[in-house]
Amino acid sequence: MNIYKYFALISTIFIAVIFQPTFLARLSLPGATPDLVIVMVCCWAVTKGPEVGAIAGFLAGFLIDVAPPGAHLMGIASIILALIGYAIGIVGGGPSRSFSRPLVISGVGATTFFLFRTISGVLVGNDISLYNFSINFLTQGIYAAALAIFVYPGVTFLDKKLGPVSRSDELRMK
Amino acid sequence: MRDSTRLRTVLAVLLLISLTLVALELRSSGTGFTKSIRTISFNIISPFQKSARSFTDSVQNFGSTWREIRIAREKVKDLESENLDLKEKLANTDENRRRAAELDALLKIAGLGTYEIVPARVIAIGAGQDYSWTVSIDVGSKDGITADMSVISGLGLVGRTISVADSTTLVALLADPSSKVGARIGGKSELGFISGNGLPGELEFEIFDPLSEINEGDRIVTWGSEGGRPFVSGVPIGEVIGVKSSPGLLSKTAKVKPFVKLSTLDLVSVIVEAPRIDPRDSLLPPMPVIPTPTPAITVSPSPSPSQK
Repeated sequence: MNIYKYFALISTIFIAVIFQPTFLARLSLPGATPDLVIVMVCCWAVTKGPEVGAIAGFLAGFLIDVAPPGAHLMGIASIILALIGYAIGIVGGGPSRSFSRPLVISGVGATTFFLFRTISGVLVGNDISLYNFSINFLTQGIYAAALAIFVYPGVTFLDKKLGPVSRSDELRMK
Repeated sequence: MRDSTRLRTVLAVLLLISLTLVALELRSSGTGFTKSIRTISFNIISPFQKSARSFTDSVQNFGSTWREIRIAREKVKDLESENLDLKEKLANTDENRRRAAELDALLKIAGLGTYEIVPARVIAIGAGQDYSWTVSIDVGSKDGITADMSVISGLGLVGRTISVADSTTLVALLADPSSKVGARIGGKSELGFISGNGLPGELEFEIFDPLSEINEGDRIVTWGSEGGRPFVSGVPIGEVIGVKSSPGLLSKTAKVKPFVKLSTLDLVSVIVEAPRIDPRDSLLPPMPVIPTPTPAITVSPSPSPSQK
């Protein structure tokens, strides 16, 4: 990871955080709101491995917590997302020819994040019906996989454009 | 081996920072350090959100006509630019007309209730992933907004302001699980509480008196807080769609459908000055009129004295 790639990482996540409430939330699609931020984190983690995954997750979580209209407890989202990014980097990181893998991983990542959020919501005392939960859970995974179709090529493109894969990166993948 | 140590260190540092944030926020409970982080980030991020919002608007206006325009571009190059121009104007006119109608409704409700309002647009909607319902609007402390003011739309109550930056304000909607509004049934004086449960189309109304009579179709208005903050009195909230009677409990609950569609908000306004006189039920929309059969009247000619 050189400095340009970190810059690309930060700006893509920032853009995702900006467009999440202003664009995707306003589409009012059936079921859950597509979660662009988690998809962005998953794609970076798949492309660059656990370390970048954890950093991307932390950044995304921090931005989600401080950006309006967020009003929940600061720091929770960054813990959860950093762990998800790390785990995805371990399980699914590394160069691969398969195109379906990042889609599946994004779907799994998004539903995991949604599960955590629901659990924290229930702990705070929200009354969530099983029906609503299962609809949102399913649509969340499907939307995430669909978003990854566009996001993953973008991330790998940025990764290739901004300098060759360094030796330390290759080592880290192994 | 060295590499996995480094990896663990990075993860540990990130988690530590996050935990520190959580601890700071819990300790100061929304004031002090974390509050200033929020205010700074609000001021930095909301301009981006505003421009993203206007971009989204133009995409939405444009989306339906995009295809036709692409064909036109292939055919005639100058016609294309003219076509695009006209179509965009048309789309904007519709959008503006809708917005004007919303403003009209807002002004009407403000006029009836003699509220002093500041109009605003919704710029970001909380995704609803964790069932919290908040939006941010494009007015702030510069426009005289402070926390705990009522927010209404042309149809009724939307929510209340919870935190304010220079030119953005966070609004907790009625459906937010933390929202609780003192309310009474329009026309009767039964008091109770409206609370949100994370669903936009369904609120819970808890009536204090278990023996009171409440029926489907009853309309609910705000009861009003001390000094009109956070809620002014007499704003319509919604209509009862179901009554749950639970014998043995000290109160009765009903399901209420809000008049305002909370998932598609656009123009709203913040009440900065409460009315001096309680408007009571005058803001409720007129009851649907049930047509009553009118007896057919046949006019029979009265016998008039025949002239001779």
